[in-house]
Amino acid sequence: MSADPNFVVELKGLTKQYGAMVALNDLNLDVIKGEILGYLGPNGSGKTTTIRLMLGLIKPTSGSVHIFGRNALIEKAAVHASLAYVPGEANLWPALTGIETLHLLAKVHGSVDETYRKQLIKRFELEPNKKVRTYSKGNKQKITLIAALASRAELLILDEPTSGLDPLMEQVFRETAAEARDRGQTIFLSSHILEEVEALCDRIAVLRSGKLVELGTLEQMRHLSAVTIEASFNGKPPLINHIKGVSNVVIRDNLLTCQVNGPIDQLLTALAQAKPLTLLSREPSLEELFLALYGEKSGKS
Amino acid sequence: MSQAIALRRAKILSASQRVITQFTFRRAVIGALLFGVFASIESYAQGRGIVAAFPNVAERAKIIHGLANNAALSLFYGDKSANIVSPDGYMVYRIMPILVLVGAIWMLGVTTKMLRGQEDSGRWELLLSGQSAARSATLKTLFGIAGAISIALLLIALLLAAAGHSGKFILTLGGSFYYALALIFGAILAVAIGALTSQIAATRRYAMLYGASVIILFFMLRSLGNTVDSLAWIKNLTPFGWIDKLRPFYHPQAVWLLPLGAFTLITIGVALWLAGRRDLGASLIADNESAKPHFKLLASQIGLDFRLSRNVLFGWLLGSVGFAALIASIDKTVAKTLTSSGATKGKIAQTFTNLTGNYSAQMEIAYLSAAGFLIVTLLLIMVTNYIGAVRDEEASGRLDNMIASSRSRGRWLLERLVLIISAAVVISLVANFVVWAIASAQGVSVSFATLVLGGLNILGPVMLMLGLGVMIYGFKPRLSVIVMYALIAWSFTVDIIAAALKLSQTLTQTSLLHYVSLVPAATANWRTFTILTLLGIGGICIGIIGFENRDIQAE
Repeated sequence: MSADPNFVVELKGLTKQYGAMVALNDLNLDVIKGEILGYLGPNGSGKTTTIRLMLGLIKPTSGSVHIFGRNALIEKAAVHASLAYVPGEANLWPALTGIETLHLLAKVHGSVDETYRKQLIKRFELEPNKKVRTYSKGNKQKITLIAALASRAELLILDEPTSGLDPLMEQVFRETAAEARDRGQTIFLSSHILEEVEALCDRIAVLRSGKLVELGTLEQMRHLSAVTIEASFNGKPPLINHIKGVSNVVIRDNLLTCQVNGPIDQLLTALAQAKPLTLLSREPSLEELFLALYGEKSGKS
Repeated sequence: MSQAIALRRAKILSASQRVITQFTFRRAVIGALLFGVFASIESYAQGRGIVAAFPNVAERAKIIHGLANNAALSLFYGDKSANIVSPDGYMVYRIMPILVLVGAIWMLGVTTKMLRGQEDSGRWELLLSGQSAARSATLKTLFGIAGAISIALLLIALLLAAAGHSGKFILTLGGSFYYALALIFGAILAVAIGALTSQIAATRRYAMLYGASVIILFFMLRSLGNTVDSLAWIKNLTPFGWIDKLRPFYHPQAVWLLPLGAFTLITIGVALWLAGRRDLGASLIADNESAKPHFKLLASQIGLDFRLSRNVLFGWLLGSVGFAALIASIDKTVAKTLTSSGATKGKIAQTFTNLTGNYSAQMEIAYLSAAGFLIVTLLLIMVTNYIGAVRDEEASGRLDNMIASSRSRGRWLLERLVLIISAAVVISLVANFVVWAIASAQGVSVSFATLVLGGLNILGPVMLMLGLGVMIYGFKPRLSVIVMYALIAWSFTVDIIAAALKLSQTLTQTSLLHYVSLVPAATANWRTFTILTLLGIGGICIGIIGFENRDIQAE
């Protein structure tokens, strides 16, 4: 059993190798009770591998997975009873209808809040009596989402849950995920949609080539990247390339845009001497952080 | 320079035009090779077998003509007006119609998979987003399938000609090629029918269902014409009748290739016309998009399995009962014919003694044991297909939904196995009961306990096969079905050629079918049954342990 009841998920030294290829490398990650943890990474970085390891669908080469203090690789059934999973691709039984599939998944999971399920069917605008084979990708995804949310499981493991959903349904997902967190449920959210992660997640973990490269709140991570400065001038903007920490300087007519890492006093002094008409500073968005992080690590900068 | 660019573009365009055909050919050619080898061995073994069993022509004629007058046998056998006493004529009469039917069902599956199946999965859209429109892509797919069929055709012709060149009876290259063409025409017809039903039906499943219904109807009409002399003209109305009338090796009537060719071309023409006219995903026969929910069987894995596979299992039950009933209904005629000659009776007795070890029954009782042989073959194929379905559940990712919940992997697999084992027991009991009922109605004195309960011994090899399949599935899931089918093909081939080629005991013991006690010709060997069943259960246990501990392998 885990010593700290605040951690719902504890991954320690988790490694998965396929022959010589390392899919996940010494991952150490905790998910705190009641939070939404955003799990980011480019394609092939090991996100789905992590989730499949957590669910015991594949075995780790080394390391351990504890969920609710239990060893998830050994006490699978007990662990799974407290979680619900939404796969990245909804593979369902084409001959069943939507409502039959929801009924089956509820029976298999063992718990369902039927009143809430009815609400979710309405909110996600699912036509439950249609056969699964006639559903679009997004509608199939709605079924797995409704099944997971209606289970009221303590931990929701969501692997790119909004793939295929239209923007309106994405919004509904965000609302329901936020409601789940407010009720005390914990969510492990793997996603490509940075806006979604930015809006929903309390903490963010970033994976690259099977290694965890960043973990923290968005605010903490913003300090890792450059602040964007935009200034306009009456005449020609000043030369600032020589200033320490300044990068990506772009000058178009009288408009200057640049990014700065670290102290900005030298830059502000240089800009002030040129008497700017306007001066804007903006913290990096998650997308910019993500791009900066990957650009930097892959040497593209 | 511009000419070089134009040439390069033309090359790229030409390559892109070929890709659908090549892709389809690649996916169909392995099956074509297997079918070609299987059909060649089956065909040659029949001719070789009849010569080995009855070298004396007069004796052979007496036996075969006696059988040819049986109505039930005429359902599946060929045109009795052919020279069925010669080994090549007997080959055409005895096995060609069945191989034509097998080839048709095989090719219907391939065609509907490559056309409607691709459309169902969404892959067809990707192909159509290239340089081919729907009609052209359909045609290119059919070219790919035609390529694979050509391989099967050539293989059958060459293998038979080679065997006929050095074997006990002569098969010329021209004759073998004509025989192979007649045999493969079932597959060609099925391609045309499958291409059409792929345009008409809403899903691949329905395309297969409609196509199989048409093929079975055509085959039944031909069987009716074969069975009732006054209805022989019906054979002129069905493509399977036209194939019979091609008559390889004996007064060939190649003129029947004309209606066969015309039927194929017209059907494909209609299919291509429809392919170019309809929207992607649309069909002439609409599918019910909605249905009233039924929750009864959705509370457990075994319930879900039964619900999803009940039609297929029912089909296996019907098929097994049908074959068993056929055997039982021809029992008296066959027994009478076979025992009409003292020499023949002695040979049959020897054959049964070799097969069963302790043959002592009357001929009419002994012949009923052929039903058990057929049922066990069908059950072996059924469990293999079922393991294929289990693998498909994992490969498709649907299994993730089950085992990511509180259900354990082992329980999931075990519940599925309980269903298929129960189905095998039920099919075995029902089929043997039907044999017993029909035989008893004809006045054949055979006890219920001997035939129906004793018949359960065929489940021994089935359990062993299932255990082997589960064991491989537990460690190397992608290999399980391949190994199982290879073992069935091996067992079947060894059993077929054992009689004709007098194989060594050691070799025949490698066949699973060797371990079936042919009741009521022999008494059930419960010791062998117990050993095979325990080995099977052992395999299942090892397989479940392996499955519990390996990675889930989605495609």
